Amino acid sequence: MREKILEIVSAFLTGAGSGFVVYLILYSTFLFLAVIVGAWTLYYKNKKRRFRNISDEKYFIPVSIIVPAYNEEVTVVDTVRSLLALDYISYEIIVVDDGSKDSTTKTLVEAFGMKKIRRPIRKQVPCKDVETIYECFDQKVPLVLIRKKNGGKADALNMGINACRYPYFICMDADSVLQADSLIKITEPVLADENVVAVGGVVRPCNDVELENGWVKKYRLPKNPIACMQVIEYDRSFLSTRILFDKFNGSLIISGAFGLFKKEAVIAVGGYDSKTMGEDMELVVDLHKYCTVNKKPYAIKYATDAVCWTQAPERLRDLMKQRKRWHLGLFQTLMKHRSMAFDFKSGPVSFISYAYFFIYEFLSPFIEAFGIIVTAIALISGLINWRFALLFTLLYALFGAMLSLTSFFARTQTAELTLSFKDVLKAMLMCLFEITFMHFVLTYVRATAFIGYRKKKLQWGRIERKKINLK
Amino acid sequence: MIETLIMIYIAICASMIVFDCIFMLIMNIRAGKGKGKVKKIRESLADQLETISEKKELPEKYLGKLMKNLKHPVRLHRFDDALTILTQSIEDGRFALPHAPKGEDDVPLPLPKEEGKRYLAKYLRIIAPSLIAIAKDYRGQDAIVHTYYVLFLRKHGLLQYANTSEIAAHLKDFLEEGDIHVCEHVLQAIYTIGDPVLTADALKIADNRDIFIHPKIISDGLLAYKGDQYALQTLLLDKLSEFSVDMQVNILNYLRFASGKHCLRILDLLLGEDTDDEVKFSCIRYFGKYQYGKAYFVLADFAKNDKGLKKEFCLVSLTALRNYPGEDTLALLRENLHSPNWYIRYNAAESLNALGVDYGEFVDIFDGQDRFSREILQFQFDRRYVKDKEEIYI
Repeated sequence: MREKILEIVSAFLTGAGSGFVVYLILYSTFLFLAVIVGAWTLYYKNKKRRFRNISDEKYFIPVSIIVPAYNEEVTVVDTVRSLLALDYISYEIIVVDDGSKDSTTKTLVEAFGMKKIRRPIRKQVPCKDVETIYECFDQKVPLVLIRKKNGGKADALNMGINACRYPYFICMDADSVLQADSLIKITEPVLADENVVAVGGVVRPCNDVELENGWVKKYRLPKNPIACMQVIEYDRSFLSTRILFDKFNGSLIISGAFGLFKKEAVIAVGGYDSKTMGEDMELVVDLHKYCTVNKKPYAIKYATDAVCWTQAPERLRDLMKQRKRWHLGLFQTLMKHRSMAFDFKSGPVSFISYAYFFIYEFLSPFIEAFGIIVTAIALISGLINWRFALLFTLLYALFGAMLSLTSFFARTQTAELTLSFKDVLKAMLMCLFEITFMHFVLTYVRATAFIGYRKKKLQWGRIERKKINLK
Repeated sequence: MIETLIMIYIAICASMIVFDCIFMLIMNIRAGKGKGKVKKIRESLADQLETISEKKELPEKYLGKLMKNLKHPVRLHRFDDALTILTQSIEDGRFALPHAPKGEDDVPLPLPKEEGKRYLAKYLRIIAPSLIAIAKDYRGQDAIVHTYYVLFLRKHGLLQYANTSEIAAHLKDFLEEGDIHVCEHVLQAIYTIGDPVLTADALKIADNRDIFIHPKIISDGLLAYKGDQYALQTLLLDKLSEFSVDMQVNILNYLRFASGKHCLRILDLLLGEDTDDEVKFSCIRYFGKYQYGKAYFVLADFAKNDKGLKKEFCLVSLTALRNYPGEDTLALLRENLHSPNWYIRYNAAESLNALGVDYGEFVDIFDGQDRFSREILQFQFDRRYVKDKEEIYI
């Protein structure tokens, strides 16, 4: 009897171990393909830029920039100033103060000499009530500040949608800075395809980067290892899967930090869902679903050279909070749109994008935790050769680090950013650090994200704010 | 098996990193080497300008070599850079011929700006046929290079020196085959030639293509047309019905930005039974920009009808009416403030504001029961106050 139990346990461990290895191999293959496609795309774009294959004349598509803000008194003025300095003509800026407890509104009103105005707002998508509206017209473009009752980021964005007057709007974070040419770049897909309903931009951490008039004056990797690790992580993420998914109109995420949307389409899906934490992903999935169901031709694009610089959290606690939020948002979106899972009418967005996000983003922390435990037991009980396990782990770590490094180099080179020798070495070390340490910390964070889930619902994600290095 | 697979992946990744390093190295070397080559081309260009200044012919060998060299995109790129720097230095009055007499501080005296421009124009006229002749070599190449070649011709104004029918044939071919960027640059190139028939033909080709060309590329682009704008506008209006509805709207948008000399023809179009609604909206917007007495009654008629299908006409007309001040207009706009449609109320209020009405004239609305009209009007007055920074009501 004991032998039989041992046999079953052994068979289970062997099976689970093999399954885990297959999972890792499939994931590596997918990531590998994504990085290759991403790097190739960036080099091709670079060639296009070298031969000036870009719109020579500047055709300005009018856009409204919506900046939702909650307790952003430290950064909001700089953010608005950077928006006013953009290399673009036809746009308006709408800051929505979501009932901040600090002096976000006061700071803005004083900095730009804004005046109170009684403005009726037509609620086309649901949002909490307006408290006060301020406007000013003596800036380069109209600047509007709406102070409303607290309702969360999605609710603030919905207010912005209701108030904006142009057919396309851009959503961004109040602690981010858009590169000077970012609006020209993000509107390019709209000029090229009339069916574009959304365009995602690239988000890059700006910790320790010097920006002047919306351009990078000095690029260097952050001194803080947590922020530095995120630079590598962001570059890999924005180079790999996003570009690959873009090839078959399968993007499921447009970062809340920088994205362009067609107002009409967003209103048709009811705006941002204020009941989810991942409102950015939810909106994109909603757009896919709406257009597929209603048989509307549509495209959701990714502009690889429209850059938004953002602050990456420098404290582990802040990073953990942020990632928990993201994981819960992912879960809520995947659950809300679970009908997409095997809806083959939706095309590759269902069986590639949705499947990828479900298996390799949502389930991965659980699969990885399970795999590690099973491997450890199998190792202890002598079912696996420890030399093989060690070699496999090392190879896997090295492979991951190489992929990250390839993405990082491809991204910095094609963006014409100069790296010092010190930064190249730092990047190499960080790639290893990320795959051997941070990855496991974040796996733990994501696996335990559901603890206290109800309490965290609909709160703004807060991280410690610092002034951005702007000149 | 698994180990081998991972080893293969690592080998590929390592080779990608090696590729990155080599790429970086090549780019740096190319940039350094490129600068030297661009400098050499600049010197050669200065020599040619000097030959021209001496009223001598450019050597045939030079033209042959130039033509052969510029078939290569990288060399064309360097030539473009050198020509751009040269043009800029002439514009800035900094350009000196290689054997120019020296001034007091032993520096060659720069050429007067106008003289430099004249020599450059003559040089471009001489080389233009050779550069147009290589169009057939660029046609077969990939879209990036293809586009760049057209951009180069346009940027340096080479098309104006070429035989129109010859270049027209090439450009039309490019337009029929190229991607969106090629089309954009070809259209821009055609506008610089300033031939109305060629422009109309090009628009027709673009219209028939199965690619999306954003309306702004057409309407904003046409404003850059270098020839007789009136002749082009008249021709486009003559041929308007030959275009698709989308292109008709783009052309009318261009006319709206360009000239108010076509009111009568636009009114005919607006009243035409076969005219598409979208085209009619463009016509109404035209009259919103250019006041035309005969159009007023049509606009007023539209503004009176805010129901059903005519709602859109009412909306556009209300904005256009701000260009027609008068008691009747004010009464019409005032009436529309009570419309159940938000946008109609908004446009009416905005037009009233644009007409500069006084707060006192609307006391009945501010004291009345219609909250929606009050709010929308209040907003316009507030807005004017913020803009003018002066108190216009208490």
